[in-house]
Amino acid sequence: MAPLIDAHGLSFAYGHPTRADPVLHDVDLSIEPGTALGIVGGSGSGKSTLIRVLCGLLPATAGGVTFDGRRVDDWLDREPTTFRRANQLVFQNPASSFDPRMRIRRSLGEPVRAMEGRTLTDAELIGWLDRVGLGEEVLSRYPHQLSGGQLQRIAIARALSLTPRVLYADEPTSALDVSVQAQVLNLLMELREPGFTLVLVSHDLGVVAHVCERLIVMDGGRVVESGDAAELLTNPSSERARQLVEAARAVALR
Amino acid sequence: MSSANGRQAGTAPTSLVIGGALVVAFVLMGLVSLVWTPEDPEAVNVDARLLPPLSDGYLFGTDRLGRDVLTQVMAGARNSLLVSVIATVAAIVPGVAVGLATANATGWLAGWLRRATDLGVALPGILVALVLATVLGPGNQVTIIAIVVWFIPMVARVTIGPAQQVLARDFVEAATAYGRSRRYILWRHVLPNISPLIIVQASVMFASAILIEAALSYLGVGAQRPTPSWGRLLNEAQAVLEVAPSLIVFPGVAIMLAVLGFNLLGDGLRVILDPRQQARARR
Amino acid sequence: MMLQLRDLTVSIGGHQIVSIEGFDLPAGRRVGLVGESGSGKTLTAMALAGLQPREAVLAGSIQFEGTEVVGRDAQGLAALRRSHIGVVFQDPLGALNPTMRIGRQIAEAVRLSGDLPRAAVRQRVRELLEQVQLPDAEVMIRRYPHQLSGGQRQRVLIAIAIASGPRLLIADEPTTALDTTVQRELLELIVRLSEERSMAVLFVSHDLGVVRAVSDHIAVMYGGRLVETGPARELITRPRHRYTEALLAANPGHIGVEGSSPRRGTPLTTIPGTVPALGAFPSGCRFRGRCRYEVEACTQAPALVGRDEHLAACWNPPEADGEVADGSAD
Repeated sequence: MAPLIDAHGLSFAYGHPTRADPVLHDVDLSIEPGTALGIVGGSGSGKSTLIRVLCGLLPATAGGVTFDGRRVDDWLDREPTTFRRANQLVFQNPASSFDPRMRIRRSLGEPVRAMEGRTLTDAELIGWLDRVGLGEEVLSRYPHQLSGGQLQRIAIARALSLTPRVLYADEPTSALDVSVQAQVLNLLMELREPGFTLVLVSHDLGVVAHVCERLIVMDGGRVVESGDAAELLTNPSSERARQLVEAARAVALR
Repeated sequence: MSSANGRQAGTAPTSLVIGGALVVAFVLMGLVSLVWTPEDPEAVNVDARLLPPLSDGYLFGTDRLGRDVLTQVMAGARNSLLVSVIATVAAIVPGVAVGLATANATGWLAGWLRRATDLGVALPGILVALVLATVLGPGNQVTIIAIVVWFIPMVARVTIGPAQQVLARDFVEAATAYGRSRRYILWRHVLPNISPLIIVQASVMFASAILIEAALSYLGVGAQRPTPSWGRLLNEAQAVLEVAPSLIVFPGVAIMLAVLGFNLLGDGLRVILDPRQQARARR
Repeated sequence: MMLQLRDLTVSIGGHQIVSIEGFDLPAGRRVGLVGESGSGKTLTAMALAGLQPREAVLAGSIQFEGTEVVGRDAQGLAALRRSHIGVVFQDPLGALNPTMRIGRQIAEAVRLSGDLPRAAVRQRVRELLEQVQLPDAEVMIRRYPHQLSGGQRQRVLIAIAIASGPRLLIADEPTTALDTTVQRELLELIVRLSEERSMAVLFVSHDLGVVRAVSDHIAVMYGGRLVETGPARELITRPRHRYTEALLAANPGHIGVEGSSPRRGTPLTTIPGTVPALGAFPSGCRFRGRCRYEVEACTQAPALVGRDEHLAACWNPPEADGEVADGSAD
């Protein structure tokens, strides 16, 4: 099967090209459709930047990414709506993911309103909320009235409302309590189906080990190791991966 | 539930109440003066010159041409409010626009816009006003222009920080991801989220504008006769200070109370509007 | 017994947030205080050092080396913190003065603990930097906080906290914002310092794994109450409170187990419901309503009971041999 997402020599840097600090350096990766891919690394490793380049929020400064065989910059030029629909994100901080001045009813319906110009009916909104295990009472609430776990689930529902093909989750549970994290991870795992690809960025190897079957390890903007998750975690070959695994083992419960 | 400063939620802060009362009083005074004043503000009455306050029929007394002071103070309120409202509103719109543009800009443009606003803030306002008055002639219109020129960089500068904070939040990235244009985001997401700050800033600007208008009128480059103005009253009162000291008091106190009122209103609004945002964010 | 809590309550705005009947901390022991948001763990830890928020009202007794902390005046508390209790907070950048070189900040802490001549203070600063494994003392001393990495800043904070040779170190989520590799080093540092100096540690965290790595004993809090305390390894392998059990089951952490992660893809055990709002906790056992093993007795507040220092406040605990009760009510 052809990979859904294919990146070659991907680089990214902020600022003026000649003075820039490279955040991503020569990244190669490919993602098969339907996989759950974990991206791990320390802070500053470039993992968050990588997914933003992959989903088109940031432009690559060198190299390229293709989505479904077509270059991302081509997608954005000629069919931006289709591409953006297919690639959605969930962020780390649930409180920051919603406009504090809008009720959930409005926020949840924003993607469809923006992409299709139509307003979702309450029945449709409730359907999406139900998908993530929430009831209709949250529709009339403001973000500050809801908990982190509830907001994160609404964020997932919001992303799903466009029926994306890829969901990028950037540390989706790092700001949540363990018991709430379990609910959100369960939800992400439930979403798995043949047409659905999940890319999960996390500093927590335990989370990634539980959800993903493939892993990429990043360090200093480069991919230092990639492969089958279980394999990689039992027998890391790169120094950095080894450090990360040992650090995780040090605080593992089992 | 008590808010961060210990007040019970739901009670208005003292500053808001007092400030609000003062502002409302002056607005009423100005409005009333449109339809009625005790005397005609320009009515000269040679027989009733320099009467002290509480004289028969002249509550605040009269000036050296026999004109009723109370009437002039009321009419002056109208002028001050008119000038400061027009100037503030006229400054806020472009000021916020420049602030948003600067917050949104990246690279060299951001730097230049920032420098431009800093330069604007550094300009000495009174001097600019005097230059403009010299070039364009004195009067309310020039006063308004001078205040607007003075305020726009201030508004822009105050807008940049909060706007950037909002732009850095994840829901802005999310909106980009589901296809919202930058302009939509600035207009429908950033602006509403910084509007409380702008409202607070506006009330403080009203206070400044009143003071600036009074200063310029005092200097003779503001409203000219027959348009009433507190600043000019002050100037005229100076000439007869030794004979009728009370003439300084009324316009002076009026200016002071009006400025105080708007400042307190701004403080009160800040308390009401900001902690609520903080409580919202504190989840 | 270095630290003893008896009938300690911390209330804010009329709500009793924390209520601890009894808790003992012997000298030199490292205890991890674990709980999720709203458990009251930070409030408790701060109260021990007299650093609770101004609007918090303490009642009951906190005895630190025989001296009562509750009701002590500000000066007394400051003296306590100066030489007996060191505190490390979560946010190193916020806890350090950004305009002061770190050498000077550490020196301030050293000077507070006693009058030493300048040369002795400098020497002490160097020693402390060495002890927290920040080599190149000459360079470090002249640096400003923003020039250091998160891990380095946290080491500086630890240096400041131990400058006076305290008997107790209270650390509130000190590694939460750090990379896992840096976290590991910092936890090892804390353990080493504790052993070298016979310094007790109260390590507050939401992460059971982190707490297990650094503590001899663990105390679990829920709804402002202590629900279980015991030796770290035993508490984790044989929890005696349903909440602890649920917390462990919800944790996906199992890395590098030989032969792959057997549970991958399977749903994690979640805790039904959500933490009640302040003032909305059920009477009796506070975990009632979210516990799968609730029995009639749970309408009464359970006391901490157990043996061999492994105590739990649960009417229907998991069976002592590690097997889980079948959840049927009495």
